[in-house]
Amino acid sequence: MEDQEKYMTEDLLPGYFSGEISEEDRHEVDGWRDLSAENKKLFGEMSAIWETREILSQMEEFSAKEALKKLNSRLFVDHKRAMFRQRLQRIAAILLFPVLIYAGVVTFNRPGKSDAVPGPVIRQKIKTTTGTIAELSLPDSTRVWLNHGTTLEYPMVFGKNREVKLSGEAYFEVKEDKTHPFIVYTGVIGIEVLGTSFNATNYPDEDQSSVVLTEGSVQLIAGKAEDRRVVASLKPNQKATFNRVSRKLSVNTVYAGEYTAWKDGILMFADDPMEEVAGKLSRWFNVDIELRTNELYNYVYKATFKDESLIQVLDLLKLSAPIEYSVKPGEPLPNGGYSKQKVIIRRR
Amino acid sequence: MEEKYLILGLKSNDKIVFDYIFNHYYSGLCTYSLRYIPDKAVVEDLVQDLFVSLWIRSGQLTIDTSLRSYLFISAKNRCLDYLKHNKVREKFNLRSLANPEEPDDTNYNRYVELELRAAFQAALEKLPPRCREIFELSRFGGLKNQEIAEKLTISRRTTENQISLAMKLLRTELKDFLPAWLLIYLLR
Repeated sequence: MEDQEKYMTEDLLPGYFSGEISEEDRHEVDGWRDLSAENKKLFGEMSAIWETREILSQMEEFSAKEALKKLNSRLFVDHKRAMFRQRLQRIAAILLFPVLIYAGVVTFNRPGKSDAVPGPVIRQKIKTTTGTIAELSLPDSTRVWLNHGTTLEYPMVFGKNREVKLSGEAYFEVKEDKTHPFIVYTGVIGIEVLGTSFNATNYPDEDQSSVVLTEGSVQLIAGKAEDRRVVASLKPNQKATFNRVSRKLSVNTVYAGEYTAWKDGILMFADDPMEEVAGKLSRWFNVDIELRTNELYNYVYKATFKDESLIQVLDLLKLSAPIEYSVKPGEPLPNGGYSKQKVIIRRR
Repeated sequence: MEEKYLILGLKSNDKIVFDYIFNHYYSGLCTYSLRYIPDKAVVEDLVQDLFVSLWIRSGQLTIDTSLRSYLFISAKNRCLDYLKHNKVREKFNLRSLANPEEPDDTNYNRYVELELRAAFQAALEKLPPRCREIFELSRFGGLKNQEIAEKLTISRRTTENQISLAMKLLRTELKDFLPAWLLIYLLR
């Protein structure tokens, strides 16, 4: 056959390189290669071409596009300049007020005696996502700052009582109005004031809700509206904590400034246990945090951060406690977005 | 883009230039790193770290050689560092650094995917049609020589003859992409 006539040993090379060759043919190639410098050169070049082919296939398995998406999130966490940009974004977030506002008509179960307009009450629901702080005024001119991941519900028009519902953390500067008590519902415990400033925390994913009073006085109440009863009163610089699991209420003295710093963009830990530190960091920087050991729960932290990046904060924590951490960048999601970055904290 | 503009852009933290360089070199740097660490996930991490540090330390960047050599040498150093620190040398030694007599591949051109692909494409176009078809089945179709023979109902010998012919033609067309050690190897 024609093929047979044209047969040359070098035709065995593709089989030789791909491994599809008999022992006998392999020996033939080896012998042929050592026969002359020319053969040796051809063999070398052919093997290099074969390798180049393999390199091209290998390169095709790495996607620069995907990798760049992943990298971008890291560039803007690790880099100082990027930090500045991130800060700008945060400021912009506050200025632009990118909160979700729901207005809905609900039938409001009002107490019999009410001086408000009868009929359904339109309720507003304001939500901040993690990484956003919002500031707003309520219909009675009360000012409210919403911390990350917070929802506040209030009626467009207040009734006899100024009632709002909080999930998350908020700082209130309540406009004084002795005839219309201002009540914040945080699950079981309500906070009733006439005109004062206080910080309330009620994150659904935490075991406890708390109130810290800055000035004036507040009363903690149980039960709704007309049926409510006072269970405790707070003086400035006192903190009340209600544990949802043990259903116990405790009051202790604190420095209120430590609990309200967040509204001025300051991240503060005031002898916080690691668990709480992790919760604050995860909301502040919008990341997931995983504690890999229970031992860390006993460590308490005291620190103040203003413009530090997540990495800077973690590095500083590392100095004061036997921890080490690693950061997993966010993964691209099918919807084109990114999952959160994940920080894993272990004992060193 | 001209090299000096790339370096300049990199130094001034130009994200467009950064992205361009990343897209141009990423797959090649990963593949090159596989020579040292045959683990795709590890080399991807190392190469990404390299680019993060390139971005962060762009101000202090000094590139005496070409940007290309700089990137590949940095990647290699990171691989060697990784092997040293992670004491995984034994685990990977099977293939990486397995051939200490083979000098480093300093012709980085072959690890620039876009350039190599373009050169390959141009070279393939010069092949006789049948020869090209068979070679592409082997190269792009990932088929074994025997499988190609069956598919085209020709003998395996004919298949190998055609692939061999293709490779012979390609070696002159792709001489800029052949490994630097080839010369040394041939002189031995």
